[in-house]
Formats: sequence, C-alpha cells, structure tokens
Amino acid sequence: MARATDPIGVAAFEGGFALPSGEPGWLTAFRGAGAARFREVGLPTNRDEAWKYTSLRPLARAKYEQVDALAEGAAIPKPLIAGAAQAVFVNGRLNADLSDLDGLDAAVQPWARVATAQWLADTVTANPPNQAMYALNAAAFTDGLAIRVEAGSALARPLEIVFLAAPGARPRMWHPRLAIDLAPNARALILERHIGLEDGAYLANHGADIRLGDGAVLVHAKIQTEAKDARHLAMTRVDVGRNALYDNFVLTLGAGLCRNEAAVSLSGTKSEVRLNGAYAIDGRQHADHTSRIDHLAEDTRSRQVFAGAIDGQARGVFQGQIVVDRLAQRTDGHQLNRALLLSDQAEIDAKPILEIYADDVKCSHGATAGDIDDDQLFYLRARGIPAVQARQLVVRGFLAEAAAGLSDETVRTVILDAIDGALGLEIAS
Amino acid sequence: MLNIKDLHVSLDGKPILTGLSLTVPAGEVHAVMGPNGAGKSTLAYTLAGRDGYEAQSGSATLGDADLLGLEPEERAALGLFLAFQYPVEIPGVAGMTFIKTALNAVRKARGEPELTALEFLKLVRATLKDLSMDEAMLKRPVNTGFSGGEKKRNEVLQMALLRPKFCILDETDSGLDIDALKVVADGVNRLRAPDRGMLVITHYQRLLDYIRPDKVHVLARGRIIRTGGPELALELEEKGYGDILAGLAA
Repeated sequence: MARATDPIGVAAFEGGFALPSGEPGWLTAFRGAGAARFREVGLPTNRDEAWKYTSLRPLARAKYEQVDALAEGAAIPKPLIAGAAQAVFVNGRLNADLSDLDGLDAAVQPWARVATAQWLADTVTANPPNQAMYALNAAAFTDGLAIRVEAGSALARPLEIVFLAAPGARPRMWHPRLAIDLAPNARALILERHIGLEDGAYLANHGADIRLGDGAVLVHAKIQTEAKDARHLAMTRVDVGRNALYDNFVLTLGAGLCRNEAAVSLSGTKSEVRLNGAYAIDGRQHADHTSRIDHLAEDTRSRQVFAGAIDGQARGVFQGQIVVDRLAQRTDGHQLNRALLLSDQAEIDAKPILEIYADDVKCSHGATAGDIDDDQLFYLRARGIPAVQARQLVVRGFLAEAAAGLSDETVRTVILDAIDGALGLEIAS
Repeated sequence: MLNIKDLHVSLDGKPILTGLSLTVPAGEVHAVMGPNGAGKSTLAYTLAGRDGYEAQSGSATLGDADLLGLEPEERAALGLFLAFQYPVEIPGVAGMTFIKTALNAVRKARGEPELTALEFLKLVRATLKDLSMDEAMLKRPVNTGFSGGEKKRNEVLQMALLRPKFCILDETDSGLDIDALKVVADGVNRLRAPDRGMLVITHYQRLLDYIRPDKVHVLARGRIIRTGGPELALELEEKGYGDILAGLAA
C-alpha cells in the first residue's frame, strides 16, 4: 500500500550522507540508522504534531551545498568569559589554528580522534536517532567536538564553542555534532556561540548528546546570533544521572528560522534540569523552542522559564512537554513561558503538555502573552527616561528574568550583557 | 514655582478636576487633602503627564515652563518628581541601573555631562548614608518583591538622587506603618530647601504630623474648596470631610 505522504526533501540531502573510512563499527551503524530514519520521515512539516508551528518544507528547495572548505580570514571573537578556552568552528569545521584549547587537550577533542572511545559510543547510542533533523545530522556530519571530563574533576577552563558562519554567495549547510560526557561528580562550564559573520543563506543543523554521571554539574549556555537568512536547527539529547544538574540557557537573537530543541531524561533520583531561555526577534524571524523532559526517577526536579520579546511580524513558538513516569514519585516540575508582543503582527504559539503517570507529583505550567505594561513605562518616563529607552529597559528586564535561574553568575552576566547588546542598551552597573 | 490655574481634567468623559487652581511658591510645602474620589491622584498624574490624563483647559506651569504640553520625561528633566502612591515593579532591572539611567537621561536633557561610573557610585553612597538606607536595595530589581515600606523608601531615595525642583508626593503614607512613615518623612524633610517646592497629597492628617506643611488645601469635587494653615489638617482629622462637603452643598 502506498504511503499517505511521501517523505519530503530526502533527495535534497541524501547526497551529503557521509561514511568516512576508518570509523568504528558503532558509528557506521549509528550513521546508517540516522540515514534510514531520515529517508523514512524526511523533512518535518506541520503535519507532524511536534512540528505543528514550524515547517521545514522550504528546505527541500533551498539547494544547500555541503562544503568542506574553510572560509579564509575569519576573525575570531574574543572570549566572553575571562580565561575561557575556545574551540572554533568555521562553517561547521573545527579549526585547530583558530582554537585555543590549552590545558584541555585530554578533555576536549575533535570527534574523529576519539571515535573509538567507549564513552563516546555509550553517550551517543543511548537512544536511537529518531528526531528527523538529528537523524540527518547523524547521517551527514563530518566534524564535531567530543568532551569528556573524568570523575570528580572539573574542566580546567570554561570552554566556549564558537561556530562561525561565513557562508559566501551560495546556500551552504553543515551538520556539526557535539558529545559531552561528564563522569560522576565532574563539572564543566560550556558556552556555545553561533555567529553569522556575513549575510547569506545557510543551514546549520546541530546535533548533540550529553550524559551527566551521578553528581555531575554541567552549565551549558548558548548565544545564537546567526545571519538573518540563516536557518539554525539544534537538537540536544541529555541524560541526567543521580543528583546531577543540567543547567541550560539559550539566548536566541539571530537566524530567520530557528528551532532549538532539547530532550532531557532525568534518569537518576534527585536529578535536576533547568532549561531556561530568552529570545528577542523582529522582522520575519521565526524562533521555536521545543523541549521534552522525562522524569524517570524519584525526587527529580525540572525548571523552565522562557521569555520572548517578539516584534515586527516575527513569530515565537514554545512547546514544552513534561512526562512524569509512574516511578517518578515526588517529581517537582515547573514550566513558564512568557511572551511580550511588541507589535500587532507579532505572534506566539505555545503548547505546553503535561503527561503525569505518577500520583505524588508537583507539576505546573503557565503561559502569558501581552504588550508592555503601561504602568512600567510611565514609571520610568516619570523619572526622566525617554520613551524608547524606557521600552528597552522593560524588555531587558523581561528577558533578564529568565536568566535568574542560571546557577553560574559569570554565565548569567555574559547572557545579560548579550541581551543588553542586542537591545542596544549600554548598562553599566 | 508651581502654578495651576483653572485646571479641567476628564477621564473617560467624566469630569474629575473642574477648575482647580493652586500655587506653591519655592521653598514651601503644601498639602492637598481630600476624601476618596476627590481627584487627588488625577491631579498628580495630570501634573506628571500620564497618558490619558490630559487637561481639557487650564494651565499648569513650573517656573516659566508650561508642563501640560510636555512628555513625562520632559517634565522630569525640568525637575518635576512624582513619588508614586503605588511604585511600580520593574522585574529584571536592578535599582542601580534604573537610577543611573534616569539620572543620566535627566542630565543629558539638561545639557549636563553624564556621570561617570565612579561619580555615580560616590553620589549613591553619600545619599544612602544621608538617608540611613542600605545599598542592598539598589542591587535588587526595582521595587520587585519590596514591602510597602521599602517601595516608599525607594521613592524617597530616587527623589534624593534626582534632586528635583518640585516634588509631588501622592499618598506617600498609604500602606506604611508608623516606623516606615517616620523614615520616609525624615527623608522628605531633608529635601526641604529654599529653592524646592513640594505638594503632599494625602487622605489622612497623620503624614502631616511628620511633614509639616506651610499650607493645607482641601480638594473636593474636582477643585480646591478651602485653603488654610496646618491647623486645617487637624480640623479635618477631627471633623472629617463631611462638614466641609455639607457646607459646599448648601
């Protein structure tokens, strides 16, 4: 019997499926599984419930070219965190010359160099490559970064992973891959920066797998300032062990279309995830933040606060699914999604889903959408602050609130500075 | 200093101020007292320039400047300060950031150089010391989660830092216990100066025990119906507004 709908866009991408020689068997199998999955489902469209508000159908016609060539003369931005190491990717390829990984040699490696490591196989293959774009990444990736911190130790320096995009005249794409494995009681601070250096159409399709051993703490932030014609897709899968904390923040400012997705399994008792984020979008930007958190063990905790400032004809999407397994008693889950609609044509689509199979749980979700509060504006103006600046301050405060849950003060400051920069505010405090 | 002449203000088509006239010379503190619904907050908001509080006729000038045609921030730059009855919470914006932004905006509007970070910090510390207040308040987001007393103290702190020419205090005593009231009143009294005027709007006489006015005006049915010395406040406290309103009707 014929399928009701044929998968879309397979032909546009399968030419880029890679099978580099010398890769270990597990990786070849994983790539194969990714390729098979993508051929089966194709590009997600709004017929898929999980992609109801974000269709990738246009990607089938975009004719992205997969490139291996490095852009010349890319300027490396200074680290935002004092003393941070930098792993610099240009157009999806790790560039050792531009990177500064001093002191991290054993912990932070190009993917290919550690492909045979058991920890990497365990981290990556814990779940099959189901999500379509993650599956595409698995089939097509040619470069990536693998980070492993040994038990009881900390990554010696904070690490910034900088993805520079210098796409050139023709639409290009890359599928970088990230794996992070923190052994029990290990700690790390990682900031991803996604920077569009020049205008131009490109597709950055990121896939990441993260595993946190018992008692591990990962602070993982991301600042996305891709070019306005860029499509930025990211799928991050996280497994959190007993007493471990995954503290994530995403700041979305760039890209014409962005989908930032996370799937977090709280598999150890007393494990915790903070999945927070802020976005400021304008023009015709589309920013989708989608998450699924599975509470799989007792006394697990999840916190989500997203704040978006949506102007022009931009559209924000928030989909947050919390699933509480019947074993996950005393789960404590809270989700809040707030949007400021700064123009008549701005739009927010919010879809919270709570699925609770345990009986002793504390779960809540909330969503708000509205214009700037006139009382706040008048208060600021009555103190002498001009209307435009007063609006910026209110928006700034609105976005900054989402960062309050970040456990690391340095990262929080970096995020707040980035928000101020995006809003054109100069705030010294 | 502040001259209000025959001010008429309607809200949603309903007349609230109906020919209010009032003069506060520099160096004086005047109280405006009145029953609920008399138009006290409307007077404060109209003077400060809140959207929707536009005068249909009459005038309000501060020194030589006509206030009524100006944006709220322009009035602030001229030196007008409204201490809010309900100070507004601005989550995510630290008090320090807010005050610095306001101070520099006002300085810029007046053609004065902006303060450097160091100058600003010195000024803040000296002012906090004067008012016996703690710097911790300025590190928290503006008014967010503040108690009623903290919010009012924060208003006085802003007033002290912005050094306005003319202060309007709208029901500053509402929601304060007696200790907080004393702290706030003490802060206000410190700001009394020969070149500064104040208009203290209140329902109760209690605040005026601590901030002694030079004159007391009674606002009822949209205009000033009586003016007297501080003793008028005591009379109102004793007899209530009923007698005066009854006299008005007769």
